[in-house]
Amino acid sequence: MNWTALLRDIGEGTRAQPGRAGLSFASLSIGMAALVSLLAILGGVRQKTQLMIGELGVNVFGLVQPSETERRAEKSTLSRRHVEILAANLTDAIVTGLRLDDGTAAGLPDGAILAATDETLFQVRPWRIVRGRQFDISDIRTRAHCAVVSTALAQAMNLTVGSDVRLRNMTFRVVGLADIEAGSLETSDIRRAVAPGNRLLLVPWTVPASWSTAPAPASGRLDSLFIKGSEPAHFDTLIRRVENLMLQPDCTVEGLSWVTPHSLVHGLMRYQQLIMLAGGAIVLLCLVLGGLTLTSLLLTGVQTRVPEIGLRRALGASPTDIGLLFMCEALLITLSATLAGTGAAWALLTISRSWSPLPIHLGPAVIIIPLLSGLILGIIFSYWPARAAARISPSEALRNE
Amino acid sequence: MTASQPSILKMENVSKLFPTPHGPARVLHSVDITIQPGDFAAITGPSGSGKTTFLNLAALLDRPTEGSLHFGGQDVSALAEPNLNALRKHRIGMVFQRFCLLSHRTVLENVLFRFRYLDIPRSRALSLARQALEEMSLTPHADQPARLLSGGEMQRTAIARAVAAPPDLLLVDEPTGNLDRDSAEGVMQCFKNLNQRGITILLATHNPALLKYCNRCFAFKNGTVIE
Repeated sequence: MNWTALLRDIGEGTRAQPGRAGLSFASLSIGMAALVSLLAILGGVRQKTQLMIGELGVNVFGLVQPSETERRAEKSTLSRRHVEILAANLTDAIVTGLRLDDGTAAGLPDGAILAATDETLFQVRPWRIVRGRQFDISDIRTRAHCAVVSTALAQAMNLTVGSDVRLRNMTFRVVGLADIEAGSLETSDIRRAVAPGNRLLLVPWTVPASWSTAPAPASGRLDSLFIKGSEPAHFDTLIRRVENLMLQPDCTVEGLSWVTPHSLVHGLMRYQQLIMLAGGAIVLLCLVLGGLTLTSLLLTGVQTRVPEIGLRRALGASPTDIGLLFMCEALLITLSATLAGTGAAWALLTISRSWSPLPIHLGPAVIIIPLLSGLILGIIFSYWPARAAARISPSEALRNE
Repeated sequence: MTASQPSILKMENVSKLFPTPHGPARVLHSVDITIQPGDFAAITGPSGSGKTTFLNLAALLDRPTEGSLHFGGQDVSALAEPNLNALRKHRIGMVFQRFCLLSHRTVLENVLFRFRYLDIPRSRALSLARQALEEMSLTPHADQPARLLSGGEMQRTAIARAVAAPPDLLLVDEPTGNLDRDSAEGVMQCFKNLNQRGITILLATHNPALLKYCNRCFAFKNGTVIE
């Protein structure tokens, strides 16, 4: 195959009708740019979903007590009793809980959260002790004045393992520093009891909250429960078992919110479907318009180049050579439009990523899928004209000369 | 030429029918022609007499409906399309009445187009193309776009393209139809020179003045031929 000659032939073919070629190129470029944007946003949504699930924890789901219900009926709040009941009934799962207090009122910097929990929290949530240790059962039983601090808060307060931190009139010894993932779950739909942020100070939940200025809370009140299953395959069964347990008369809590991987994905899925419908329609419209213009360009090219086709056949070109020539012309337009559209969209998305409200992920799929689409579009929309050109009888073509 | 040398083109009892809405139209009737290597044969006859159909068959661009067609001693009547392509590519040259040049390309590029479907190194093709241009006295126009040439120059470019890779058989269809008398004389002289170099030429023409250049003449009338 003489590639230089083929490229030259292709270039001349496309330049013969600059108007149609330009229109086809523009439509396909816009379509490809829209496709790239769509893929980047869908990729961003998918990535965000994975991050949210990852931040909640693998095989973890949570139950969250809405604050208004808590104010209305104290007896129907989540409490440490629920943790005990669930733990006793779910031997294949780990159950923990979290109570949030006003950190600022206790003397912590603005935005810091003071949370009370037990010794199993770090086995359930994907938070990692980077220095020191987490609470142990002894800390919980003896109501030890110890604390685990997130690295972000420790840095802000200049704390390290062994430091003392004062919460109103009580002094706590920092026993561990923890990396706490935050950011992905902090959306309007997710309560702080699930995503407390990365400026967090944890104390044993058995220590009386004497730092609290709020009315004395009910004994053992919790804002959220977290349950981690041991078997991914039985995760849905575990959720159903917890649902059944929470329906027992002594466990019922009004207005409980369930935060499961499915509920996290569900919210984003609606978002994803909307983007797919709107973006997909634009992509389809532009690509079909560009493709049809391309077909029209090639068909006109075949009609006006009949003598040239005859000459090529007289010089030994096979029908395949002729068909390939027109198909390659189409591929030149679709692939160059793909590169232009992808490049432009990539640049715009890179620039807008920092301030865009939409999650954007520029992965390899954002390049590979448009390239494959360009290739497939080129083949599909040029097939008919290329076939028509290849089937022109050389003697008929030369008669038109 | 020796007696044992096979004919370059041999048609035996060849007929060609084309489908029409009113049934098949017979354009060639039982044509028997043998062209020997080195011939400069003219095909004459009025329009519609079957000259172009005959040339298309000779160029292996079409197949006979009946009869047998031999090229270089080989029966090509039922030869597969890729084999016909190979024969056209390597052994047949064609010159057309309206030149069939690529107007936006230069003269040299038009001649180089002869090698478009041949596996010949670029440097060799360039050398052959320049040689053909030299023979046609077109070297000064080599870098000029073909559309700027005169009619005679265009036809000589087309001839240079046809013979740049020397063919066994050169088929020429009305080569002077679009030329003035002087240009026509120049073009015919080119054909004469090529024939003297051993290229077999089959020339279709209306113009009786061109017959003086040929050593054989076939007259077509209503699809039949007489020598």
